[in-house]
Amino acid sequence: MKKTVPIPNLLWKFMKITIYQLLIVMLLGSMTMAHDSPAQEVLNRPINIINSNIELKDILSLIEKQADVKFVYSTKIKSNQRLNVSANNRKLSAVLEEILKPNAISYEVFENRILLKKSKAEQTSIIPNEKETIQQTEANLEKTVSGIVNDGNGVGLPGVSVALKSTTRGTLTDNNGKYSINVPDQNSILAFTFVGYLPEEKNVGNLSTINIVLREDTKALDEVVVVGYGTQKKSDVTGSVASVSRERLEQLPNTNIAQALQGAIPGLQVNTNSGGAEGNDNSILVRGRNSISASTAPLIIWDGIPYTGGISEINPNDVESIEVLKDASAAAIYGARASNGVILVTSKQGKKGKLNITYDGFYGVQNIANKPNLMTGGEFYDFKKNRLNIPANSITASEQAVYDAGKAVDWYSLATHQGTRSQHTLSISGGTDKISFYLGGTYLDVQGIAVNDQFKRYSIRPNLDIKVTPWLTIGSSTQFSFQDRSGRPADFSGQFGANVMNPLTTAYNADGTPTVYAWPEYNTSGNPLGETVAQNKDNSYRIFTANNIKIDFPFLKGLSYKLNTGVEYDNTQRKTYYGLGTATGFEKKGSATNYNAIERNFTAENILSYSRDFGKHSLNITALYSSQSHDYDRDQLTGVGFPNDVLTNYQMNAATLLTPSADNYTQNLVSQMGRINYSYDSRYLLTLTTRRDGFSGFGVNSKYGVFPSVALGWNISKEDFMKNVKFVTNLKLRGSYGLNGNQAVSSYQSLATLATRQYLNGTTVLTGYVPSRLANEKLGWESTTSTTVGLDFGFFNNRIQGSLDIYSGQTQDLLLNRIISSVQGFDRILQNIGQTANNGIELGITSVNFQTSSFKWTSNLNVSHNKNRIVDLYGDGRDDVANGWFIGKPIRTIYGLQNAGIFTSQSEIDGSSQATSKLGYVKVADIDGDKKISTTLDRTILGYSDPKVVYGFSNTFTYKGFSLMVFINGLMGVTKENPLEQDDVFGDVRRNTTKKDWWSPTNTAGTHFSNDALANTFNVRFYEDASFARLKDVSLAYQLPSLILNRLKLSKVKVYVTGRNLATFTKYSGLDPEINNQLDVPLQREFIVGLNFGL
Amino acid sequence: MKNTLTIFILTFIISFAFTGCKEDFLEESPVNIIAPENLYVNKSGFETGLYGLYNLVRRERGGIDGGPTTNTSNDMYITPAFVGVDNAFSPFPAGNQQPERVFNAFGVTLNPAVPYISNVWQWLYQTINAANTIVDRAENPAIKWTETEKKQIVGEAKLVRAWAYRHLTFMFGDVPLNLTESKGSSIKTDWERSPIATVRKVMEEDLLYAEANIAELASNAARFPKAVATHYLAELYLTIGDNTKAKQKAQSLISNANYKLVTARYGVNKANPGTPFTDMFLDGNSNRSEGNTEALWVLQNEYLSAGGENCIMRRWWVNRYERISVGGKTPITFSIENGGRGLGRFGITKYALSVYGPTDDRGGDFAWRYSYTMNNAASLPTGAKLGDVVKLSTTGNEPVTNSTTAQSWPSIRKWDWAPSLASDLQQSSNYNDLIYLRLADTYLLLAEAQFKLGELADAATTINVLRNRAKATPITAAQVNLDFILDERSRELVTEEHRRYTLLRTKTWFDRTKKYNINASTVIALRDTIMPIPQTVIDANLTKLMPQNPGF
Repeated sequence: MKKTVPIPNLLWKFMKITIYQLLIVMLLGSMTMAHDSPAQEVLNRPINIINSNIELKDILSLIEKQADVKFVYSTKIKSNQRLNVSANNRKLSAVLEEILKPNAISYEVFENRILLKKSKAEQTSIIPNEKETIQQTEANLEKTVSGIVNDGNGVGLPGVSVALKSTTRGTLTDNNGKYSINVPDQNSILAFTFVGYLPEEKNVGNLSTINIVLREDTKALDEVVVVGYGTQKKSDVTGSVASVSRERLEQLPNTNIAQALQGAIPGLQVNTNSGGAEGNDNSILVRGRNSISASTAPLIIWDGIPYTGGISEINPNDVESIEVLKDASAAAIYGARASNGVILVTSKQGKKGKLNITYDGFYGVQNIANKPNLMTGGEFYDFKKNRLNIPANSITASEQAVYDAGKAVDWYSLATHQGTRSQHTLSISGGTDKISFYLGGTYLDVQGIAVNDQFKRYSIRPNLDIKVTPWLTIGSSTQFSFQDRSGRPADFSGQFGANVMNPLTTAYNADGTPTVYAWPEYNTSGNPLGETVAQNKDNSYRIFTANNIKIDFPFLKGLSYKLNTGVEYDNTQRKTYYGLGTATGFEKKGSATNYNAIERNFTAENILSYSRDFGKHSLNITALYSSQSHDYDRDQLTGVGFPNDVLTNYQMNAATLLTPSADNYTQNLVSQMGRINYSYDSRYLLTLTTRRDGFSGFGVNSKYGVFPSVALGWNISKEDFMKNVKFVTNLKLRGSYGLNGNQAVSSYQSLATLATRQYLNGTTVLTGYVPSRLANEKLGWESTTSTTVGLDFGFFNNRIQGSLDIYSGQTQDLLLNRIISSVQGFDRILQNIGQTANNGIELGITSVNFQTSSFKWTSNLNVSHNKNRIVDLYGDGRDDVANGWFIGKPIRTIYGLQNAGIFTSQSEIDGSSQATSKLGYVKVADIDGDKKISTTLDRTILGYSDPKVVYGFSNTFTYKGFSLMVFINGLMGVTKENPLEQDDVFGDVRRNTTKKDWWSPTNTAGTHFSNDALANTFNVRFYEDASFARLKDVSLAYQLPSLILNRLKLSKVKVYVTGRNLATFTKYSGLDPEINNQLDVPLQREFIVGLNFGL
Repeated sequence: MKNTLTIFILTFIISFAFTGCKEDFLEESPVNIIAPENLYVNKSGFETGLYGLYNLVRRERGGIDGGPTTNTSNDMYITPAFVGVDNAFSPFPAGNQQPERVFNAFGVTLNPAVPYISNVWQWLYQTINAANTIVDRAENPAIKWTETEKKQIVGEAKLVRAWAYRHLTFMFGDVPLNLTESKGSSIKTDWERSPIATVRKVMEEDLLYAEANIAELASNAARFPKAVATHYLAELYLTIGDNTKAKQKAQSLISNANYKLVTARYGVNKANPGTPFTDMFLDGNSNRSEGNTEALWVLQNEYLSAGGENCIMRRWWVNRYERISVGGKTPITFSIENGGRGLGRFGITKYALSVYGPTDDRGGDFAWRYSYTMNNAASLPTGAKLGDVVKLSTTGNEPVTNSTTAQSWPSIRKWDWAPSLASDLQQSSNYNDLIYLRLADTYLLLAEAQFKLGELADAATTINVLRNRAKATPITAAQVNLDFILDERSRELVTEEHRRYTLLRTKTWFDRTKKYNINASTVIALRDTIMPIPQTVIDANLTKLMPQNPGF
């Protein structure tokens, strides 16, 4: 049945526009986003309206402002009808009764949202409109369509407007998101609309059940981001702040947050420096390397409190969001510690309402991603036998015996096995009127791929939020954790680790225990498995608690005070015992080390803030006075020479020699900070910040530093002239300029010290001291001045959104352990000298590439380029060749002799600068062309160790309940040494090495220098392009649909499989282009299965 | 009520927020760091400074591997003073850049960038700065001590300073003269190399000061007695050609009643076969307190004792006898009797073996390892039994580096030692006390001075004192010449004296090394007489070019 209904169509359009405007008004009205409140509390809020004859929508928006609520209503409710209202400090409930009841509108409260709907009796009836011609009657309605509207997470959405398109007929979904509507025919179209979500339309066709998933409208959401000492609406932020959402954090089973950050944020380079169970060896670099020698690690703030512990001790499951402050303005609030960027970690908090119980768990296996191609026993034997210019008879009797018996050892296999990783998290959260809580407990257990490499973490997090009175709130957020690192992994990279251990040796005694000396003729070589039989108990206990009291002053609206206190306590206890079964224990007749360290951190922050809107002017002022005290105390006692192994670590009284050692430091910080955020009409934004930091570690003449910054923002999309540029949803231009510091100095570093050097009189030890460090009274912070210009954008209703930043930073007063002439008795001193600069560009884009009702493909790409250079070193414009620092070049420049291949013909040797060389020897590039090779003059720049480009690219495909995530990260423009190219076997071939294509007179096609101890006399190192793209994670998840969930009375069930480090694409021929030590524990490849469910 | 509360809270906040912390909140008062300011305040503080200095001195015979701040058991600090000379070389050099390889191979391996060169330089200047710190800070009038106590301490510090400059001048020639404590506020980038004569002038002053002010006999075995200053003065005067003063100094020490040559059997091994000469080197005999009247200063070592570790004389000088191959077997293994485990990094040349007369104790079986007794039941050749003797060859040339026969070359027994722990015969370090300087050396300095002054008969008399003690045939005045004196020094002091310095002092290093050291003869050049200045030192001298030694 075809109908022509031109007028209602127009009307519909008109109404739609009105609704959008309404929505905007509502959103602006809800800017001061409220905390969750229970229904009764909401309905008791006071309302003052003295007005008459105004439109319903205006009344509602007034109420929204006063009561801090949001109204949600469908198009059926005539919001333009005029009403008379008068309320003088009346309860909201009373006001609503008065204005809604006569109009047959009922309401329901969901948290801060109030849903208005037509009263039951009229629910599916036609709402007459004077301008509308009624074309259908009840009799025309032929069929009923019903279904559930959910939010994509399986949660039913109540109050969604379901309208029959081109009519005014409609209904709302109930508390569970269910609806039912009568439609005239198959050609009917249902339109689903809901505040904060993108509208959906659906042809009815033959269907009688239509379930709809509404997607969040990211523009409408008006995200709030944590910016340090408070939060801000994303649209008001002037600095470069990047967020990692809870969604992204929960998407992959990570052991620590550094793994979650890798490839997730433009301008952030997270490097996995080594393999191993704990996976804690990561370095994080924000916008390039400022410092030459000082730390380049960003400051971590956890629930407002500076965190000094290991990144692997933060349980990622308890994290709500992570924000990274990248530019001078955003980071300036942290002054002397900000120049390496700031990472803000926010813990999950409880929410009012239903009790939520969730379980997350996974189990995975780990295997070696890439093994070195080591020689087998036989190959090693031949290698040693054929090696030229080594001592004769180098093959020792035991090696020969092992070889003859065919019992060569594959040390690498013995030192590795399949690892596992599993984690279980149980959390309960919820809340009542006055108290909300979150309680989470996690157990993590990793058995690494190196034998005996283990890491276990037990953590529990109680978080509490108590609203004592309307103006007084107390918050508490705590993590108790216990890390168990007991057990010593097999040795990989030591002098005789599994990677280099001679295979012609004996791994085990007849009784199955590892041999003390695998190679009897060499007592220095021990046994790579020796460590695994050492007894080692290594436990650390950490409490991190952030507690605050917030007072909203009743007498001055917008003024609040917050006292934020933090305590961090870490106790590490280690007891290691090397018994007679290990080389160390055998030589020393037992060696016991007892280690106990306590680290504490106390922070107190007084934050006064004032936030107020005056018409179109919006002002937010934050003032801070804080102090922090950090101390550390370590006691260690090593005893050797015991009667036997029985009492292990508990026999220090019987030791022949006791060597105590201790460490202690205290460092204090006092700071004042002021920040002003001003915005006009949400279009023009200004942020001014200054921080003054005093730090005890600075030299006596430079205790305080001041760090100011300014930032401007312009929300272009909010300008009138952009109204007609439909495809632009959001466009903001921002710029910042400011000074940040890098505290860099540690306690007592500016003081001269002496080191203990004993001597003897007969058997009596005489304590002696020698100068070990020069003092520097002027030692201070490094300062970075940086400028950022950025553009945040969103197009096509934010289907494509992202940001582009261009920055430039100059770092001065670089803390350099400058090489000085050792004539002074020292070869280095720490000074604030030198300058570096970083320029870069970074881009992050999130896009919905393809979307139907059941299939969706989204991408997230971030890419950044950084150019780093040394501007000056010692103020004289000269390079520091000894350190390999060159003006105009990046900090991490590789400088040395250049490999020019190998000599393959005598004529080549004769014509070269190495006339005495032999065939198959390494050819060194004669850089200065003086016909001889000099280890100083022929050095040249061979590459750079920091990448030019860092990127991360993730794609998520969802189809109904399935989702597939593919994540790739990588680096470009980076050079790395490949030590596997070296023989490195010592003069008499004591160590194994990788198999190579050694040149020899019988293998003239060989590409590697010959098997000759003198083939690489100049010790040329080999460097390769270490750019790579890694298929880091692939994760496939399935989530049960909400209908089944409802039946099961569960809120969420998700199962997933994840593969990590599946493939690496690189030209680098070492083990892995990312890890630092190619001979250490290798990187692992993982496969994980996981399950999440919620009650 | 509500207002009262508000006011209360506000007052609390304001007082909290703006009163701030105490002034000293940012002052540092470390409890675990020793600084010059809190150490050098009294006599005992200065003494700990001195013991730190002696620790640096004893590192001469310890390891350098890993740089000057790490004590290790590899790469002996003082390598070039021992090998790369007429009487010693390295049979088993390690690696590419290890010092014993550098001073075997010379040529390109001896270059300004080789880590050994900068490590040894830094160690010596570190010692000088530590001495300067004591000398400078002793002038603080607030210290309560007697003038004698002060001069004793300053004297020892100056003696060690002169000792360090002695090494530096012999190794590098002209070197920068640093005589004040280094301060962070005054870093110099324009050091100049002072002429060697200037440096030696300072050494003379320091030694004279020490001789005048330090005790005749040290208060404990760690410290230098006055005799050390006198001995080095004699050597210094010989070096600069003031032979009269050299003779006078050497004579004054020889006539000192506190010291006399060991001429009779004594001590721990007295009841067993042996010689007076070799008795001195036995564990338990080397110290003055143990009856060694000849020792001027003895290096203190102690097993498992801080400050007594990482002396590697034995590890370096004892050969790799466990590799000696007889009939395809290795019948000799580590034992205390065999002197512990050696790496044969250092060894003597054919020349050094050839200088002894048949009756000379110093060339006899108690001084040298000419044979080993089979003691490895696990690897006996066919027909052999435990206790069979394997004689080493002494007739041929010294072995080629790392050759198949290198382990079968005789080695000196002066440094033999192994712990009595069966579990640890292979210990890296010596833990017995080792003679560092003895009166026999002073006798030979005297003979050299007498020879230079033309007093040949006196020189012969002086030399014969040593020869008689060792049962060698006495010599006549006519036999005295420089070569004979140098041969006699090798006979008496081989592997003890800093041979390179002796040869440099007598300007014979190049010729004698070329003549007697078969390995080095083909590779040394005149430039190798002094070592290159470390490249790092040249690079760090930013505002003034520091000239390199010629040829490097």
